[in-house]
Amino acid sequence: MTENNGKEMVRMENVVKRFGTFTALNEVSISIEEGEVVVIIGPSGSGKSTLLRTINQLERHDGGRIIVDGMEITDDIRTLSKIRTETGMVFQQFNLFPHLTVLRNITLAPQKVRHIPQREAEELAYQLLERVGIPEQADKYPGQLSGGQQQRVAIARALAMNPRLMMFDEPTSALDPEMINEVLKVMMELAADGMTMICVTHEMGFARNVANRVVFMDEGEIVEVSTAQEFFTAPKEARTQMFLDQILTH
Amino acid sequence: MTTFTTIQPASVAQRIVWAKANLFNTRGNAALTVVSVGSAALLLFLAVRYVLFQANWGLVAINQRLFFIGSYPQDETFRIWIAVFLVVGLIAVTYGIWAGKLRPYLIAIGVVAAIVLTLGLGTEFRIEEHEFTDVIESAGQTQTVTGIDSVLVVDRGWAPSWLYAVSLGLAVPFGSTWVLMACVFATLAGGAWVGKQLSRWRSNPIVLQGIGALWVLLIPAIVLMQFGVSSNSWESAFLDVLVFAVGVFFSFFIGLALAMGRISPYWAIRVSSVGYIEVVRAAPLLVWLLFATFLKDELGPVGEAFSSIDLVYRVMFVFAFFGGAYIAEVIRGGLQSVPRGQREASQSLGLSSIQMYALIVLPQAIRAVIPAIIGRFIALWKDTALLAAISLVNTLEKSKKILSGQTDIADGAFFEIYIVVALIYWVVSYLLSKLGSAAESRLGVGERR
Repeated sequence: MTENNGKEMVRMENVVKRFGTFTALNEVSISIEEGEVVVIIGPSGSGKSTLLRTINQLERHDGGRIIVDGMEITDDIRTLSKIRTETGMVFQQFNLFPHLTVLRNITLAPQKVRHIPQREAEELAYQLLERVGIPEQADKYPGQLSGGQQQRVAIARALAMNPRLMMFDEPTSALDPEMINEVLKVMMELAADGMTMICVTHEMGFARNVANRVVFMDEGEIVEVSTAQEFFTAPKEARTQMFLDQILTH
Repeated sequence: MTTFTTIQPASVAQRIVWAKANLFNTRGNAALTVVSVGSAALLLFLAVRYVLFQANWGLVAINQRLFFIGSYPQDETFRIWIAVFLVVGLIAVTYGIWAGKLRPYLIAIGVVAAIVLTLGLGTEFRIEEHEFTDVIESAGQTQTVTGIDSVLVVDRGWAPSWLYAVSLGLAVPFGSTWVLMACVFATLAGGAWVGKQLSRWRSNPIVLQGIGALWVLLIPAIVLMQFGVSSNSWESAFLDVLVFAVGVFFSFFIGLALAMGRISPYWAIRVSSVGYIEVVRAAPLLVWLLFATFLKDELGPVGEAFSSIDLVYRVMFVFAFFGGAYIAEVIRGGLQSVPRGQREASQSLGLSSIQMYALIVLPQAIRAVIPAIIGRFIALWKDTALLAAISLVNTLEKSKKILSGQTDIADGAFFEIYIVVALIYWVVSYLLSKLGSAAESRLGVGERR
């Protein structure tokens, strides 16, 4: 666990997101500090992924304010692009680029967006592949890797942009059970290094052991925010208790 | 690593077992097999007999030049030869870099070269005149007619007539053309060898981009080289290839622009792209060609300016914009096939919209629709036959002119002429489809899942 130094990384104030008549986020407010690991859990359709996706604006929010690393999200495309380069995102379906090699998947954005020379970008990529434990896969294509390996490449790809915030959107949900741990291990190491992380996940073990805070969402609202310890042992809200009963009974 | 499945060649015994189980398993099936194999064999026999022993390829042989370049001025043919060498050299080098094996390719070139270069050696043509006497019966009266009949005779040099017929009369007699053709075949072989040497650097982006750039520059270069020869003398296969090449080149980029226009965030661009595509696709190409031919001042200054351009360029314009409308729809299909997650991943990495489309979305989209794009190109190539309908002298029109100008010596050999016309269309179509399947298998590397 890392000590919070008090600097605010993400601030959401009364954020609203609607899809047609459906309200996915209803006046959501939360503040996340640098170095914090926050796990968001909740039943499906509760707005967890949408919350993540408004932070890097894969979904535009319809109301409220979102401030990332001191920059408020507006219509200004430059701010948006800056925020996106500073936030890494890992998807449930990996979303690696199938027509590019693993190495190119990782070096593409640093070269094109950060304008890092090719050689440097490749060195960085090899370091990151080493870090996620698959340095020998650099010249393969994503389709030739297992799901767990692909997800680790996706993490390396996001890290290559040297982000200040990493967001994980159900990173282990599409994996075969035997591959989940290799991905969680990488995430734990990342947390131990002090990365600010927001994770939507159903891995309760990860939440209990790694998260500083756990956020429980339901029906587009944040129902409860508490420390991991409190959350699992003494939930305050009835809805939280009900959800925990459902997922922890078997 | 790739895993290869080896398929063991079947033994004769296995094949008999297979045939019994699949072709002769019921009485009806056996009858069907016998009838279909029998009629196919009969048709093949008749075709071979016609080509080798019955057809008269003399008219093709003496009109080779007209078939390929029509009445292009003799002094300027170097322009066409340069174009031929550029195309052939680039094809060979590209093939050498990306194709697997050289041997089957070299053998195929060797066979074609042997036919074209040797079977024509010693060939000479002369027209023999015979006196003839015919008895004509009409309306119950008999009449005796005498006259002189001209017959084209081909001295075939050393090759027996049936062997000569293999070349359909397209074998080249000795002369400057023979030397140049020999150089073409040498370039095809040598270029592939050079490509093979370069192939160790084929993953190097400089090689890839260099070859790509040469291909893109090729067509404008060839067209620019034709300035200095009046477009009135662009005829025959040369005209078809030129119109097709320019049409393909621009239709791809126009199609790309229209496909991007359809998904533009701006309403006006979206609507005009869709409107353009729907209007252009709604009328046949022939109608657009007729518009381009007969438009005078109907559209005021626009029409006048357009009609002041040479007809050939107007036709190229129509081919490019007509083909573009179809290519746009094909690419749109490709764009839809790229999962949304690809766009999201690009955006989350901070790539700009242009980078996202250029580097991530379009490469995958176009790769997915290569077969359909090649299909459109083949259709566009065969559409050049329509030029005959608007008084341009394409291969088809030229062959008609050859026949009508030489009826006295044609001796009813019109079928032979059309076989060669079909062959010219077939060769280009075949090369295009080969190119398509090669591009598919080379570019499909990342698609394995």
